Amino acid sequence: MKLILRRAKIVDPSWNKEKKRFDIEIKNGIIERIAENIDINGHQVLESDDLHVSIGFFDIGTIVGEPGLEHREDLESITRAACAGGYTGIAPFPNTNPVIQSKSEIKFIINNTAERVVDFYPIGAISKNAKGEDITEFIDMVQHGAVAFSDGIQTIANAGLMLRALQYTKASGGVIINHPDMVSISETGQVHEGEVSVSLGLEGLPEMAELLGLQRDITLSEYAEGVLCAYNISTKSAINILKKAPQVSATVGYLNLLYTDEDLEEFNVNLKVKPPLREEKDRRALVKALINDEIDAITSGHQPLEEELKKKSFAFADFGAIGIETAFPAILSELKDLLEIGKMIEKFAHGPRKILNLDIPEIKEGAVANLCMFDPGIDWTYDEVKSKSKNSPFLNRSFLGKVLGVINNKKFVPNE
Amino acid sequence: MAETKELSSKHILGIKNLKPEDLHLIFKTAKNFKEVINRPIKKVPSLRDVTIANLFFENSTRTRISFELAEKRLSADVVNFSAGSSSVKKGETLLDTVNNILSMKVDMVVMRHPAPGACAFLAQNIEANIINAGDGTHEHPTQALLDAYSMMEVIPQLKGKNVLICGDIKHSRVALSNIFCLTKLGANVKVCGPPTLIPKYISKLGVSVEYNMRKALEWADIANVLRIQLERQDIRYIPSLREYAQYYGIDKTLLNSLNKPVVIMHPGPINRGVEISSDVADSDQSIILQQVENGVAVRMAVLYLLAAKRK
Repeated sequence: MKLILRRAKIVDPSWNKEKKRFDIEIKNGIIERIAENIDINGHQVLESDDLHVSIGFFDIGTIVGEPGLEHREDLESITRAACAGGYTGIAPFPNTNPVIQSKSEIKFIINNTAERVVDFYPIGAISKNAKGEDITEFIDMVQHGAVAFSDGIQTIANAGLMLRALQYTKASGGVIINHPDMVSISETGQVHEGEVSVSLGLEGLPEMAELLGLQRDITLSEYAEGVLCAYNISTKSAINILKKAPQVSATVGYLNLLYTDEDLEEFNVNLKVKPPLREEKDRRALVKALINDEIDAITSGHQPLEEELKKKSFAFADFGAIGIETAFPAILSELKDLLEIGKMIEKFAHGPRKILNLDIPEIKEGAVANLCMFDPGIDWTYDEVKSKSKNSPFLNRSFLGKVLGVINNKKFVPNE
Repeated sequence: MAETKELSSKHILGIKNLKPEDLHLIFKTAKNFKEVINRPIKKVPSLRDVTIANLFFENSTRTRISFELAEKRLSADVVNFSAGSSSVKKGETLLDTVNNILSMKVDMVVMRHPAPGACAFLAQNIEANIINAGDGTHEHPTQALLDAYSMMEVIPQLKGKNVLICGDIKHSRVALSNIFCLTKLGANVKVCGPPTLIPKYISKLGVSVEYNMRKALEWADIANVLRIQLERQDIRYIPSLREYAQYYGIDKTLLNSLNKPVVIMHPGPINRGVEISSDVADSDQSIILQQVENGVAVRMAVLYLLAAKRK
C-alpha cells in the first residue's frame, strides 16, 4: 500500500496549533512522511477540497450480532459499517447468543477479526448470560483479550453483583461499564417521563432513575476502588453528580446530543432508544459536558434490529437504533456551531481509548497509520446502509460532512 | 371562532392534533345527525359505497356497537374484525393486518388496539382514513368528543366552567382525550384520584390536581367519573377496591352534602358500587345514557366529515 493524502488538515491534539495543510505519505501501513508538497510519483492519491485527517474513531458498546444473531449483523457487516462511519476500533458489547462470557467467546471474536481494518476489543459479560446474577470469569477473559466488563444493554440491577464485579477487577484488570439506571423504577417505561410521555399516554422513564443508578454505582466504585465507566448518560442531573466524581469516566450516545423527546410526537419508532431522548435542558447540558470534558466519549449506541421488531406500534417496538455509520456525520452536520471539530475528534477517537486504557495512535512520521479521512464540506445522503439492519432514524437523510475512508492494519478502505 | 367546513386532518388519531375549529365543526355536524337518528327513518345515504373496517384488537362492546350503528345509519358497507387482547401478543399481527386491509381496498378503518401509537402506525403505513377507537393508554378521541358534546347539551358554553375528571388518570385514554378536548374548549380541568394513579407531569397539560374527592367535587360543575381500570395494571397501584370505593367512590350522600348540583358522567362500563353508586348512576344528575345516544351522532359526524374529505 502506497498512498498520499493530499493537502490535509491534521486534526489531533499534537497538531491543533498548526494552521498549514500537509501531504501525508503512507507506505506499508506506516506514516512515512508529513510534508508540504510530496511528489506523487506513482502513489495512489486521496484528495478532497477540505480534506481533514484524524486518528481512526473508536466505538464502545457496539452491538455486533455475531455469534448467534447474524441476521441482524455479523462481523463482516459491522466491519463495513464501522469503516463507513470512520471507525478503526470497536469494543463490542457482549449481548450476542451465546453471550460473550468466557475465554472461548472472547477468542472467537479475536480470532475471527484479526488483521481487519477495524480492531475488535471484546467486552466480556459481568454476569452469566447477562442475567444479572452470578459473576463470570474475569481473569481468564482478560488473559485472552477482554478489555472491559459489562452486561451491555442490560443494566446491572443488583447492587451486590455490581460491588463484587468492581472488586474483582482489582485482580483481573479491566473497566466496569454500566448504564446507570434504577431498574425497579424504570422497567415499564417507554420514553422520557415528562410532558411528552403524559401526552402520548406512554409510561415514563424518570430522570431520577438514572440519577439514583449513578449515585449507587459511584458509591460502590469508591468503596471497591474499581474502575467505573458510566455508559451513555442522558440527563442533566447525572452530569451534576459526575462532576463530583472525576475518577469515573462517562460516555454519551450521539442521538441524545441531537434529539429530544419532542421529536417523538409522531411516534417515530427509530427514535425509541435507551437511554431515552430527554429534554432540551438535558441535551444542552450533555453538549456542555463534552466541551468541559466531564463526558469523555461519544458512542454510536449501534443496535441493529430486524424489521419485525421495529415495524410495530411504538409501545410494542423494541428499543434501539443502528448508528455507527451516521454518528460522526450527524454530529459534524448538526453540532459544528457548538463543538469544535478538534473536540469532536477527541470524543470520537481519543476519549474512548482512554476510557479502556488502550494505546492512542499518533499522527507523526514513523507511526503506524491508524487514520480517518473526512471532509466537513461534502453533502451526501444516507441511502446505502452498510449494516445488515435498517433501523435508523436517518434513512435517506442528508448530511453536510462525509467520512472519506479509513486506514489501519496496512489497509486503506475508501468510503464509496 | 372562524367557521370551517372541512376537517384539518384526514385521520382522527387523537384530539391533540385537532384544531378548535375542527371540534366545533364536529359538534355542529353531530347536532344535525342527532336530529336524523330521532326521525322515524334513521338512515341516510351519505356513505354509500364507502367501505369501513372495524378492527377491534381489544374487547369492546359499546364503542364497537356505537361505531357500527353510526356506519350503518350512514349506509356504509361495514366489515368487522375482532380479536381478544390475548391473541394480540405483542402486536405481531398488526403489520399483517395492515397489508390485508390494503388488499381489501377498504376506505376507512376504525381501530381499537392495546398499544399506544397503534393508530399512528397504521396511518403511516396505509392510505385509508383512520379513526382511533382507543389505542392503549394514549387517546380515545370520539369518546372525548361525545363527552364534550353531552356536556354542552347541559351547559352550552364550557368556557370557564369547571370540569373534574376522576379515577385512574394514569392508565386512561379517556382522561387524556378529555383533557385535550376540554382545554381546547376553554374549560378549567381538574383531575382527582389516588396519587399513584396520577402522572407526575399531568399539570403540564394545563390541568390542576386534587387528591381529595370531596374538595374536588365542591369545585366542579361537571364530574366525569372513570372506570377503575384494574385490567390495565400490571402493578398494584392501589391497595384495594374497597378502600378506593370508600375514599374515591361517589355516592348520593356525598353528592347531597355538596351545596350545589354537579353533572355526573361516566364513559362506561360502570363498576357500580366502586367508582360510582347505583343511586348516582341512575339519578337525574347523571347524563350517562345521553352520552351513549350522543356517541352515535358524534361518530356519524366524524365518519361523514372524513368521508367528505376523501372527495
